Amino acid sequence: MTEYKQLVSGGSPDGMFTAGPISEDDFFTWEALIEGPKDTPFEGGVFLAKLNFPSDYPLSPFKMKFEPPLFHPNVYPDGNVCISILHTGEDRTGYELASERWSPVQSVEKVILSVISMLAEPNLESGANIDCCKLYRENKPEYERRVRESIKEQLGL
Amino acid sequence: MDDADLYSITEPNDFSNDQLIKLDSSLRCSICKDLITSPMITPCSHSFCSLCIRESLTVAAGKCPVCQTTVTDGQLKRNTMLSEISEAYKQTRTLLLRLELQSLQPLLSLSRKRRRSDTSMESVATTSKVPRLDHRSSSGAGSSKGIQATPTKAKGRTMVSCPVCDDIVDSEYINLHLDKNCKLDQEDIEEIQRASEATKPSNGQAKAWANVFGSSKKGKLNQADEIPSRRIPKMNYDLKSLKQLRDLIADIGLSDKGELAQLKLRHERWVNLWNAEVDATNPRTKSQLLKEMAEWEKGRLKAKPPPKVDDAQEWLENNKSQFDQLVSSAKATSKKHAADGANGNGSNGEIIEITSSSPPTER
Repeated sequence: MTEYKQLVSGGSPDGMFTAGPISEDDFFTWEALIEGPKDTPFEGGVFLAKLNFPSDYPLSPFKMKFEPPLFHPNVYPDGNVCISILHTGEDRTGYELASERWSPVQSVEKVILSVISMLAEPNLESGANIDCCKLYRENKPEYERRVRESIKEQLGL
Repeated sequence: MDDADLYSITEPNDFSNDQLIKLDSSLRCSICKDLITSPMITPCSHSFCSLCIRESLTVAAGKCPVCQTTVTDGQLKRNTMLSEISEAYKQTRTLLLRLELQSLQPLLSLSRKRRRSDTSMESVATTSKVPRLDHRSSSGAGSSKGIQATPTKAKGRTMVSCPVCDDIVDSEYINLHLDKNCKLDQEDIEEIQRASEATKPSNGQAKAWANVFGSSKKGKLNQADEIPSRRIPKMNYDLKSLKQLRDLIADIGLSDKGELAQLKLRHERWVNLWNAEVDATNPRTKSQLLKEMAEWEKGRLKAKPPPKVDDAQEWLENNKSQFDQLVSSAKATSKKHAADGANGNGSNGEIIEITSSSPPTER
């Protein structure tokens, strides 16, 4: 499991995010800094997320939580991220393809890249923040305005 | 985990050549991301470490982690050729690293010269091309020991200065020192020497003989130095009583403490570990496996268990405000939906009933 350190210590991919354990004593909690993707309302923002690894990682996926929470259709109001790549087990709802779900061959890098693409293109079919979903569908300019506002607030502007 | 363990972790980016990085990463198990050990191939032609794929199949309901095809662990076949390749590669890897480092040496000395003559911008650009070299001891070497070009003798050994970090190292271990990116200390070397002395009298042969004789004796299967040779079949834990399972686990020599679920997990892990060892070219002995099991249990204990509810009443009181909030919000939405549902379809009503009743009981 700690082999994962190798992934980060050497080969962090192209500057869109950084991730690593918070302290050397505990390799089961990581922090990730994610840059808002270009040409989206999230552009210019920097988002902090906490990754919590289970003891049987990589057999089970880790949990990802934005701190402070992010205003996005697929992020719960408490900051937890809802994305198919971090889900396991039987799919009861039936709309997530098996290939999109967690498997032990996934990695932190792949998951965070999926999250970045999720920021750009929310998945409205499995919304986590219902109010945000509604706003996105009915009034997209207002949604974009609110996202930008929240980013400004975070950056202290 | 201490520093020494951290340095022993290898990764494709130890190399700086793209082709070598590719070679290194293609010989890695996609589950543990380490160099593959006792590789097994699935019917869908994917290879993994024996233990990794066995554990994965136990947890992820018999699906290949890469392509999601159904795989049972009986279908796994040993990938002998890959095994030979990976073993050979593991032994060649340090040599490869060294050769690569040597080929970069001119570049390196160039950058060092430049740094001394203080053309800062350019030297930074050159060093960044060189693979990660953590000069842990270089600063100390410069100030206290000075640069010694000629070999010196200490304690009857030949000491030489490292061409990369200028540290003084035993000539016998200079290559190892370079392989570890100059992170090998004199202390580490002494430890290696102690370890090699301990294993010198080759008790491997004696063990092999003991094993030959040991296996000829009937009913002596529980010896500590037994080497895994036959796979343990998977079992249906639902058909076993708690006592049966406990006896089974005690027979192996594992701790038989804990609840049914824990015993099941422990036995599953043991079966996977054992069967993976059967696939290995040089299997470890049973006592070593038992030791690894103990480590695993320790690791599991360290991981935080989910909050356990001892006293339901107390839990209810402590979290009353939260429950009340959930109930009230559920009631509010149920009322709203009921109003909607009255004019629309009736199927909504069912879902609402479930949501409004579940929060207080579920926790």
